[in-house]
Amino acid sequence: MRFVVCGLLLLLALVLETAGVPGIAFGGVKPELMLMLTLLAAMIMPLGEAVGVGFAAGLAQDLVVGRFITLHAGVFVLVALAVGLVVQRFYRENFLVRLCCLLFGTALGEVMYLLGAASFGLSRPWTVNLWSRIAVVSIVNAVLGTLLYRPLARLYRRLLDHDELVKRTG
Amino acid sequence: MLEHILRWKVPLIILLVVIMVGTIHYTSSSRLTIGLLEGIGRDILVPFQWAFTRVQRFILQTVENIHTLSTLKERNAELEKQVKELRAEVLELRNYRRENEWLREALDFKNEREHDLLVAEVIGRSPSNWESTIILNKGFAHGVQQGMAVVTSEGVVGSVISCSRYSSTVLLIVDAQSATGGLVQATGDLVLVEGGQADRETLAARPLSRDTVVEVGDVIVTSGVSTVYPKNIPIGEVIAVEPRQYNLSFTAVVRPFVDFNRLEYVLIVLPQGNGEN
Repeated sequence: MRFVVCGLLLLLALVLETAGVPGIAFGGVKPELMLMLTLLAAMIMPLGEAVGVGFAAGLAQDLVVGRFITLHAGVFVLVALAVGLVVQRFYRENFLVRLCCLLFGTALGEVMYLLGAASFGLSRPWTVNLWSRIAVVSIVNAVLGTLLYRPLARLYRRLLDHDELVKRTG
Repeated sequence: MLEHILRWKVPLIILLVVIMVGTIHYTSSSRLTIGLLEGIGRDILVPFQWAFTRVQRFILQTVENIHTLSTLKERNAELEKQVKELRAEVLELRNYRRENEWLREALDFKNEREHDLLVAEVIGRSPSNWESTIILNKGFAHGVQQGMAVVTSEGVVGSVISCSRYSSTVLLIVDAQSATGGLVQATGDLVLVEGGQADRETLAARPLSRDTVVEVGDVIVTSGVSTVYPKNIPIGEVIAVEPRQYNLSFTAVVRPFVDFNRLEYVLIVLPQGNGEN
């Protein structure tokens, strides 16, 4: 059940990102919802499941973009791994830990994507403008992600209980 | 069992990385067709994107209507004045049209139109912040093919880079991967108009010859040299001319006529006899 809900959440995020969110972009920069969901999954779910969510989210985004297919998937997997390992060492319920994970996780994901694209021929000048875009995306993702963390964590716990119940009762 | 899986884990990861690198390399340049999975994925998203776009547009329109309600009276008076002016202009243009038709007849001029236009609705945009693409609700089922030009009445929008059965992705001219052949309307000099500017709202026009002259206020149109864009479609207006190193050349900053943030409907340029008008 939790995987079905996860898939639906990813679909909703993808549709919002392509069709809904452009209307509420902040200074021309819109939140990276798929990356944000990956980071939240890395903080809420076990590492293996979070990596799976990251791969699915990245691949879905790649298929829509149609360029550098599997680059997003690879980047999201690495980001999920990094954040998953970090939250294992720190107290994840701490507000600052969550905020920092979302902030630096988004920045790391964006930089890795740009470096990956550059190594396959699409280099961009690393100007102040580019860095400020990365900073804005990271801040937007951190704020939105922090707000969404508790409801999503609660939802995941309920789904986990439901799956356990189904498993035991057959 | 676990040991068996772990033994295969490292080679599996290496194999996966190799496949991923190969896929990224293969899809980094333009392709004539898209993969089956890609096509299915995009077509599944089309109805959702269409519905969300409509809802979003309705909400934004309602908010804008409420906002403009207060200035409605002034706006009405202004529009009435404009209607009067436009009526006078229409009468004048009708005379010109009649005159044009007589002259064409007199010169035995063939009235050939080279392209058909297909109207498409913008139903989505790139999910990433680093690509400037839009998604249209027309695909190869409607006659759309990779490489076709996309325009509006204001000017050039971009070109189709891939299409599924019911949707197509358009690379906007402001994208880093876009390069369009342009012409300075005033002088006829050729320039190369490139996207990928830091602000993602302007274009860079680079001269193709040493004698090219570009001034602020010049209009850049498509040159028609490439097979993608028809000739003389407006691209934008030069807002600044910046000299390059040692003053040997220059780059003109061009502001596109099309507002890419407000695109709702666009026209896909089809070869004649290939689509609905």
